[in-house]
Amino acid sequence: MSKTIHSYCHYCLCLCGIKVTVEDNQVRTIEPDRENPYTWGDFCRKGKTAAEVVAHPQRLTTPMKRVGDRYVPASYEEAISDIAARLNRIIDEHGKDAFGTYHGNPLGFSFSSSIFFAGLLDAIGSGNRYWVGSVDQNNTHVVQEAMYGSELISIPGDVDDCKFFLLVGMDPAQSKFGWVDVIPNGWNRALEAQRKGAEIVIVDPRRSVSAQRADRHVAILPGQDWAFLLGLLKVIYAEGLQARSTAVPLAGSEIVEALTREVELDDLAQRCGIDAEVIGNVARRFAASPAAMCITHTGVSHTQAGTLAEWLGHVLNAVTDRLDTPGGKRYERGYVDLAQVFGRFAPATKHRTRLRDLPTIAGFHSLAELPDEITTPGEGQIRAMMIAGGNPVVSGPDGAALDKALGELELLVAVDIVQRESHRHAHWLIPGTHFLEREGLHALTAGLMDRPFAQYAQQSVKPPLGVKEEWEFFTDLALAMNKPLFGVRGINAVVRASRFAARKLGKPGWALNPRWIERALVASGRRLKFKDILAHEHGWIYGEKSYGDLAKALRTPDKRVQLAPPTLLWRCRQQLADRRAVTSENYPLLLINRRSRESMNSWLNETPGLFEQQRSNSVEMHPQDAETLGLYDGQRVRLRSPTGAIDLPVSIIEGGRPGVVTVAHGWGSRIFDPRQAVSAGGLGANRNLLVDRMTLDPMSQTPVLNGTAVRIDLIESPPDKLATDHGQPESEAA
Amino acid sequence: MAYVIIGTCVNDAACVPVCPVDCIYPRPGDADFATADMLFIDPDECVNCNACAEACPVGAVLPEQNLPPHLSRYKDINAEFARGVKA
Repeated sequence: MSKTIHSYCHYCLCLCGIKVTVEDNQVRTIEPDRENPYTWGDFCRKGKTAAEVVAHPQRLTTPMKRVGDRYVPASYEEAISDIAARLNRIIDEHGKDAFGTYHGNPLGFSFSSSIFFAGLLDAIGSGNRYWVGSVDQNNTHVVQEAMYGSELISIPGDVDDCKFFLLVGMDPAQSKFGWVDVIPNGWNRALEAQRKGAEIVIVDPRRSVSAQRADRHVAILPGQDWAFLLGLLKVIYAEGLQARSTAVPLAGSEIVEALTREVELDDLAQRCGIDAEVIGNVARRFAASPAAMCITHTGVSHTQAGTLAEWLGHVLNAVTDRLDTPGGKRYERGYVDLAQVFGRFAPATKHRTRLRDLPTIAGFHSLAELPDEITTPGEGQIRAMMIAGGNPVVSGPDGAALDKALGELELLVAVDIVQRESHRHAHWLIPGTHFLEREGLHALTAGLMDRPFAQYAQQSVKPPLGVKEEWEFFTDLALAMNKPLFGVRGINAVVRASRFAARKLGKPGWALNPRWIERALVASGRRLKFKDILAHEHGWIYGEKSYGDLAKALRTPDKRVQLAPPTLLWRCRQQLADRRAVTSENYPLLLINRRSRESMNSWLNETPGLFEQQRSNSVEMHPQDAETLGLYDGQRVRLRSPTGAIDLPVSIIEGGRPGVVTVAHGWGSRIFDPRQAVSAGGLGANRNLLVDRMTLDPMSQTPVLNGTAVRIDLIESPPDKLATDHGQPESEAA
Repeated sequence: MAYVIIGTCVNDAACVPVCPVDCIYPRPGDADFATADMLFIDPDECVNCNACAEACPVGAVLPEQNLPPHLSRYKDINAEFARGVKA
């Protein structure tokens, strides 16, 4: 019996509609859903091969308990009672902060998992919460809070009507425009706008595929986007090219203008390695365009001045009237009260870290701090951790330090579909579920869409027999620990009563489940009815794109966009005073990061249907640098920074900026098979091992994943061996 | 709009496994793969993701609108072949 399910892919924020054919609980095919009114036209191989991840050969299908060097299968009852008892003992003895958590994107893409994970953390009350946002998007949250009064106001680009795209630190041919916003098929839509006369400027040290299609590629020095953007503002103010903001009231424009008078254009040009003439030209064209947008993505956020540059990008849009105007940046209010949702998902907290005394951003601390918080003795030291849908050893800086720290924990619980690099010291492995196995409405993405759109994800296949969804595990653990779920006193009794009633009456939906929360959120938004969302299996464009909601959504005290928050002005002056070179004689090259469309960070690289041709990352470098060092294409080299060293093959790539080498992140992550004590995968090398965990963007607490000073050393290896040992999956005893 | 394979195709099928919608024909294993002069993209199925163009070692895949006039005939050649495969 074959059935067809229409849903969408949850790997990245393109949210491509999918048509899944299922037979006997097995996925037969996954195709793009051509009837999806929002995402059709977009699709990639990640979604196409999703069933290979469901059927992962190392998939966890039962809780696994570490016994010595091996793991043995266990029941959920045993797992939950053991974890609950050990956690309670640790918390009773050492306090709530002795329990730390980390979660990654796969958890965030599941609304039910995210909400109930937060429910568990609130039940326990620990402030030691860490997340992947701190190595990715924290700078946007800081800027949103400072300028719009909320950490959670996302303003996607209005690509179809744009006439001038200024895209900084992004490669939309790979990312499809998505980051903390949903713009399905965004790059093709931008190219369509280009055919109708729009201009595309890409600012990126690397000659990416996007840069090749752009009208102008500005090959900037890594980490210096802020200087380029400040230069644009300098020209705009000096030549009186700013425009009155028509959609939102602004505050502080004159303060920014004064700041631009303190700086010299030639100095900024020298810092970012771009001629003052080019800066002036881009500024004038941007300002003169009838519809323009400046977007800054991870190429910017991964630098030490990432928050500063993000802010300047927003200011540039604001002072040229690009906020909430056609072809600029448009705010979509969505169908739920997002601030309320996020208040639950990432509640405001005053918690500060023990060692570096840093506050949370969007509710969480920086991954860069985690190793020391585990290894440094004292009150508040983390002694137990749960990692849910995350792989922080590979995602974060200095993974070697974190790996060592995780090995010192009294208790490490990993929740995921396989045992990954970061889980190798785990005492308990708890199976996770794949998006094809879950249903639900992801209310968190409603305000990130570039059009009013809603889609309820349908379950395509059931999880492996006996595997609980993550939310259920988190709930059961809170109950077993006797801690009130969501931190709400008395709620555990309600949960138990609802489960009892459901069992007695034979109505499973009566037991507390994520649908309760989804329905309540949709109702509170007062824009859509839950049943109407359910009725649109291909997804629902429930309204026309409209403008003007941003002004109403502002949460600043004076209801104006703050162009000159004092902390950012201070940060700018601090950066202007800093003239230290990042590179040195010992480490003369700058390492930057890149994305690959087929890669979702460290999550999928070992999937057989992806990367059929090159199953590894490599050191991409300019021909000029290769010649200076005497390197040939495919040669294995050692990349070294003061923090670590990795071996990878060289790829010589034409174009871009000499002195810059690119290595994609997410590689070099092993998958372990707890049943057989062997590991597989480990394709490529983890380039984040080269990144220091102490040097952070002081505002976003994000490590410098872009712009790490490195050098290349030769390693002895006979050339004839290269063809065989490059990119082949390895197997080894764990 | 779709991507189009031009006559410089060398049939190495580097593009076939990266296509997210499997719209490149014939595939290794298909009866006519051994005798095909070149591969073809079905314009009705192509999602313009650019993956084939990146994978092609000889630059034989171009977006339709970037075809120079002297190669524009390949647009129809691709479409006709794809129709033949599906017929």
